Amino acid sequence: MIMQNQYFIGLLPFLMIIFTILILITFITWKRIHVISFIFTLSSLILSLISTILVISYTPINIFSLLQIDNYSVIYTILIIFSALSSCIFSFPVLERYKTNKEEFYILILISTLGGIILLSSVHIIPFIIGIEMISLPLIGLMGYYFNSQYSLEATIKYSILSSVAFSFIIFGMVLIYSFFGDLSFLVFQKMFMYKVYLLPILSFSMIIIGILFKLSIFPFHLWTPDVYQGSSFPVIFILSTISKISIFCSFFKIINSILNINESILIILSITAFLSIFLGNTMAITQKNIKRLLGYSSISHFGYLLIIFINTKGNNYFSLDTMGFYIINYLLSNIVVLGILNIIYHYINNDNKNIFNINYPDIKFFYQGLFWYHPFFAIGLTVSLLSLAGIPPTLGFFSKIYILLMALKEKSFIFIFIIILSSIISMYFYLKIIISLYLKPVNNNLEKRELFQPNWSYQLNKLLIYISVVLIFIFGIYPTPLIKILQITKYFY
Amino acid sequence: MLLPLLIFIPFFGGLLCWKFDKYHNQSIINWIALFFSFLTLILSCTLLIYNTNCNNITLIKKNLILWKLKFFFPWIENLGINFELALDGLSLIMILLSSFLVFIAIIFSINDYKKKKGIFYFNIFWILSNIIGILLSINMFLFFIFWEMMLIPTYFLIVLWGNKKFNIKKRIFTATKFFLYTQLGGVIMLICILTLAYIHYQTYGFFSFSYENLLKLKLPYCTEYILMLGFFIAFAVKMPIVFLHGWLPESHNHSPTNGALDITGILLKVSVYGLIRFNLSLFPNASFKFSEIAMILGIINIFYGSWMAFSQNNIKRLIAYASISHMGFILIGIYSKNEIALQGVVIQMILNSLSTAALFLISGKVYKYLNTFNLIKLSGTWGYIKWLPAFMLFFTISNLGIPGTGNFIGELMILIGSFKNYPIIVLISLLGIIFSSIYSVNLIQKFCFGEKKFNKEFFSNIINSEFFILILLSLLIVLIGFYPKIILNIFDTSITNIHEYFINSIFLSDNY
Repeated sequence: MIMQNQYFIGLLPFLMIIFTILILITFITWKRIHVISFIFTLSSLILSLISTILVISYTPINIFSLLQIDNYSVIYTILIIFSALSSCIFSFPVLERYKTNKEEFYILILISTLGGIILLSSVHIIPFIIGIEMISLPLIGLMGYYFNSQYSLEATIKYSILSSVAFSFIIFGMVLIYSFFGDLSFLVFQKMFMYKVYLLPILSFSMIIIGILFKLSIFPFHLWTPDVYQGSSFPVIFILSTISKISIFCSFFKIINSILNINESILIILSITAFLSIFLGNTMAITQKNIKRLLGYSSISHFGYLLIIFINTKGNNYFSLDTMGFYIINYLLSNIVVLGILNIIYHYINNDNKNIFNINYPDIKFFYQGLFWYHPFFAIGLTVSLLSLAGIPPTLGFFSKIYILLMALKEKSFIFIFIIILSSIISMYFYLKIIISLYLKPVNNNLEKRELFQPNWSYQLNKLLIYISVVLIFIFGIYPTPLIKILQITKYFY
Repeated sequence: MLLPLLIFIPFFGGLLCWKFDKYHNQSIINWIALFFSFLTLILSCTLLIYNTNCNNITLIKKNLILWKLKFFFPWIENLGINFELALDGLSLIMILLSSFLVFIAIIFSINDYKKKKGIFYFNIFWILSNIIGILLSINMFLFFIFWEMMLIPTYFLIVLWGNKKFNIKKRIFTATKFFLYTQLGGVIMLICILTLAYIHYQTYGFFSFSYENLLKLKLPYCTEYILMLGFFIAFAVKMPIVFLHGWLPESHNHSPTNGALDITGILLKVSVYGLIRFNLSLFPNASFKFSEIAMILGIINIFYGSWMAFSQNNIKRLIAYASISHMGFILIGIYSKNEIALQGVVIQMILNSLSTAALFLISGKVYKYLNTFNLIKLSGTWGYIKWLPAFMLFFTISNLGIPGTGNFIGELMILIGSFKNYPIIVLISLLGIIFSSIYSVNLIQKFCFGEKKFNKEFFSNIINSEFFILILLSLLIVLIGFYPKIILNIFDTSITNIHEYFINSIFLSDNY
């Protein structure tokens, strides 16, 4: 087959990241200079971001009917690359204090990003499987990167075993589909529910769903989340909760959206899982003292909300794409702010502590008590992003909540409305607990004593990123029209 | 252009106060706060010019509501959300009331030393601008945004500047309780608003949150009733109505001692405005059917509030329960389907807010010197404190509704107006007045007279500006008591308008 020019343009972001990985590997074998590899990664990610934006004018590009690059995939690819960029920026100060090898961290992040991009534009089962595996395998390495910190090994082992089991479920489902239809493109899913009599399509589809739900940490498969979150550092948590979850969700949405008359029983199961993950995620978060575990539970409940979009789409994607876009962008931005700020405080405030990987106390949320009186910008940023996660105006989260509610109203699913009312109150309770502790008198003067900032450039970069995301949350919360117009583009993806 | 200015000026003033918080000289912040609150008051007074009476009977027949001033700015066109503000007599009188009350609150908190006073003022101004936004907005979405944003500063005020006597955990608990109660109501109302917009989408093909567009909707009876209930719950939480009042007494007890926040607590009575403006006109048939239940709730409110007020020893809790009891009359007035009663409701609300505000301020002043709200420890202040017991006596009596004060006019209009349709309910609620006189006499007896329990000698502690304000308040109450037309003229036509709209739409439907 001949490579056309169009193919090349469509594959540009992929190629850019692949070459970055290769060059980084060869560079590391020659010499290890942390700053240079960081800047190289950063610049190549920015270039691939620009090239992805350029691709928009050439869509849709179908590449060997394996990958289809359309507006939908381009928009979410931009989000994924942006989150990879910010995770690199977060991880630089973390790695600076790490004694041994640092550069491999970026390679792992890049591989994970590549997997996410492949997943987003796949229209075939093979790239779908490759993408999922490419996301989760480097994550195991990332989690275990600081293997001498307290819960790191536990998290790594748990995640690697459980995710491989879940992945085997996905593969088994795909194999069953192949044995039945002899076809591996996504068109299979459209055919699948034509045959209502056979048990096999339903069985295989539910196998796939089990795997996906595990990766998204939805109710019956959610137990790994808080433990893994506790064991990993903030940049890894960020990658886990944005790159991996968003790309898997968006690509699976493509599959769900193509199925017109999905089986009723699967819908009921999905809605029960959504229901319970919203409810459990919020109620379990109330009692958590460790802020990482709390974020884990809140991410469970957020993906429960997103699952409502799955259930209510039913082939009609007028609202659902808008809703999804709003919710995911809000989730991404507020995660950048929350995790970025926590990361900065963790790594810049404990300057004098040499073995920072062994202390666990900054995880406890009362460590952050009184932040407002010393670093008002960080406290206000945290407040805004937590309010945005809870859905209080004037933040972006309010609009995402409104879209979810409109969606549930449109389908007249009153049980979801009831759950949204209940869970928004419960979630408000624990978000308020964190928010108010930022404004109280500090208990242990941890934040007061330490003259934290040698304001070096990486700190300024972190701060700039956080600043941009806070401003975006505010601006889109007050004036979301540009965001709506951007998301309008995703509607032409067939 | 005046209307958005009215919202943004207090907010801007608050930001300035925050900005100047770095300087340790608090007088700069005080002057800025005073200036901006006075500016808001002046601006809202200038709105009176626009409020000339005009003949709007022809407009009523077209089922249109007449606005004195309007402001429109496109915001999110896809969802039909626009920055729509409008003014009529009812919102004007409420704006006057709220800006006046905040002005008083700032005068009373000038002389107290507080940590981080600039941020304290910022929160107060934030609340004020949100309340003005609530009163002016006629886009339901905008209304809801202002409604929700008001919670955050109130939460911070209770926790951070609350009564220092109580443990911080207790204050956080109270503030969280307040937040969650109102959040519950808020989410329910949000769903109702979205449902309305969605029904508009189904019938006309596009989303609209505009109040004027939503008035044209013909809702099926069952949906209308459910939506009305949703709105009613949201407003009832903030009024508060019994069964949803759990946050009120505690949050008054734990709020800052000088009474500044208590005043903003009084301002939460904008929910009465919401009931009149939205519940009656958006869901006329359902409100018509619901009126009996609402009136019974009102009676429960009257009796429960006055009984609970009688058994309190804490002044602030007593005043809070007394205001719950007065909310009962207001509820009866709103749902009595009578124009005179509806006008009485507005008068009662304004006068009740004024006298309650004065009571809170006086108790805050007393607290500053004697360090207690306990009535038993406070007894026998007459003759030992200059002026304050006398003012306490006056405002308690006016709160009770003695002839000659404006509160009497409000109660009288409510009771006379609703007697025509609901004589039995009026007779029962008249019994409630006896109980309210009992708790008032109890308060006066315990506070002013009786044995002297505290150790201090005679002291006069009132500052000229505060004395002036209290005199002004009492003069206002007496003036309205003798000549209520002063304020009646402002909101007369718009109340008539709403009432006519309500009655007309019931006549048009089959349910009558």
